[in-house]
This record gives sequence, C-alpha cells and structure tokens, in this order.
Amino acid sequence: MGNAPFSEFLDDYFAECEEHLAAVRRGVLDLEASAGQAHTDSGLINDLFRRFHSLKGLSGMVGFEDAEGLAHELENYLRSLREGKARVTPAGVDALIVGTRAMEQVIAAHREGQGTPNLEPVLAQLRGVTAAPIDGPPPSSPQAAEGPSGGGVPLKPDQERELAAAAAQGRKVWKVEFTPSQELNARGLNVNTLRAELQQQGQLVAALPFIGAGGGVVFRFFLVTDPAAPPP
Amino acid sequence: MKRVLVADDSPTLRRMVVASLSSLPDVTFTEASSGLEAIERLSLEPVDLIVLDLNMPDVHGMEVLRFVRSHKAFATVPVLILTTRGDEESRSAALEEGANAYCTKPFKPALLLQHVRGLLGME
Repeated sequence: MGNAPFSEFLDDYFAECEEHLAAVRRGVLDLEASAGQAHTDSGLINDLFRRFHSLKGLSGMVGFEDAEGLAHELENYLRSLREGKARVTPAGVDALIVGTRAMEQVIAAHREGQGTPNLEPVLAQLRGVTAAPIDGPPPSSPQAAEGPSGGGVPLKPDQERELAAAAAQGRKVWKVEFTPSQELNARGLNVNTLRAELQQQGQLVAALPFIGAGGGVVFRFFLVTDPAAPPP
Repeated sequence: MKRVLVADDSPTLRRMVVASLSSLPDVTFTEASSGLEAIERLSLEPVDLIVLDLNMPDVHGMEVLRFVRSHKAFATVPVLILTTRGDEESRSAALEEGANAYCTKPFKPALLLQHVRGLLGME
C-alpha cells in the first residue's frame, strides 16, 4: 500500500468513502420507494450520481482501479436515470444495491490488504440495466442542467417546477438575498451557514449566485415553508 | 503572495491537490466545497488561480466558470478544470467557456504542478 499513488491519503480515502457509502445506502432505499413511478426524484438521483462520481475519482487517485471501474458503472446507470434514458425499475434498484454492496467489499478488501472480489457479474448487471430499453415515454427526470450562458445562474427546470408546485399547494415561497462580505464572514455568516440555517426553517429549493446592481456577488435562496411559518 | 482557490466537494481530493502544489513558493491556498462557496470565496478575497472541479453540489463547475467569465472582477482569473470527465466534448466545452487548462483525474502531481506554475507565471 505504501507505494500506491497518494498512499499518505489512504486513511482520508477510506473515511470519505464510508461517508459516501452511508449516504448511498440511504439514498438507494429512498430510490427503491420510487421504482416504477413516472416521476423520479431528480435531487436524489443527482446526489447518488455525484457520490459515485466522487468514489470513482477518489479510487482512481489512490490507484484502486477495481473500485474506480465499479464506481464508473454505478455512475453510468445514475447518469442514464438523470438524462431520462432509463427508469428506476426494481431491476435497476437491485443492481444499485448489489453494486453498492460490492463497492463496500472492494474498499474493505483494500483497507484490510486482502484480495478483492470478482466484480464481473455485478459490472455486467449494471451495464445491463444501463442499456435496458425503456417502455413508453421517457420518465420526467430532468437533466442536471449545466446552465445557459449569462451573468447569473438560472433556476433549473425541476427547481422551477418545484417552486410552482409549492405555490399551487398554498405553501409560501421566499426569496432570501445575501451579499457576502469579509465582516459577515468573520462573524460566521456566510453562504454555508446561511444555507444551513434556512434548511432548518423550510425546504431550500435552490441557491443561486448573481451579480447585483452594485456589481458585486449576491446569492439568492429560494425557500419553501408552510403557510403559517414566520418569515425566515 | 499568490492565492490559489481549490474547489472540489471532496475534502480528500482538495488535500491531494494542495499537497501536490505545496512546493510552490509564496502561494497560499483557500478551499471551497461547492460551487456557491467557490463564488463566495472569490467575492471575499483576490484569487490568482482557481482549480475547479466540475461535478459539485449546488452549482456545477461549468456554471461557476460561466459566472466567473461573465463578471468583470473575475473574468481574467485563470481557471484550471480538474475533473474525471476525460471526453473531448467536455474538454472542448470547458475551453470554449474560458477555462485556461483542463486536467483529468486521476492526475499526476508533477503534471498538475507544471500546469499551475504556468498559469501563475512561475515558469
């Protein structure tokens, strides 16, 4: 292990992988509940995609090509879901469960310095669900948009839909604007702490940067709360 | 003293990048774990180079790049994209949006260091 690239970061690697895998285990359970439905939770799919993407990148950095390759196939299936080219099906969820378990085993094997399992069956299973044709119209899982050009970052279509749905349900939609400064940051008020605070008060649908009238950076948070909730 | 902003949602990856660049003289590092945080850091202090991941939560790296290039205050800050996406389409898109360099993960520390030296004018 000592000769592996970035071997001095292996403890960090194992710790971060465990965090990602814990979130993946929770996320796959949530995804299982939506298997076969017309609308998929884009936020959940995006989060799973990013976690497998991170696992792939980290595994590659420390030279664990088997973990990297497995994460790549898991990421590929999530990308297909994200792009509406695949549905969340019981077979797909099963492949994610099997793939996540295999990921745990591979990483544990590296941590213990033991031989890693044969991944060919699970890789084949993942490729199968990624390539499986879908029946009927594509599911309404909007792409993780990379945004059009422009000075500010726009709301994604699924975010716009979510805000519209909240308003239609009688819930309150708040726009909270925050202009960062050195002074506020020194007092502990920054985009991260404000985001955490707002998430305690309601459902934070989006947080976007734009250029304010004065030419500086401003952040706009879109928060949904219950009708009776006080202003954030 | 030059400041390098390392934006990646992985704390381990950020540490690897900083470690790879730690031999650079007179350079300090600031880190961001998301696109929003990266933009906030830019607004709070001058930055001489951004090492930018693409797949980050809240705001995607490409959106950060477009935002940076559209704002007068940051438009000329060099941006090095560091991503697992090695396809030519992604590379071309990033360079067209104004990235100065595009490196893929896993990266060789010496190659990253060489790119950064160049972008900081330290060659």
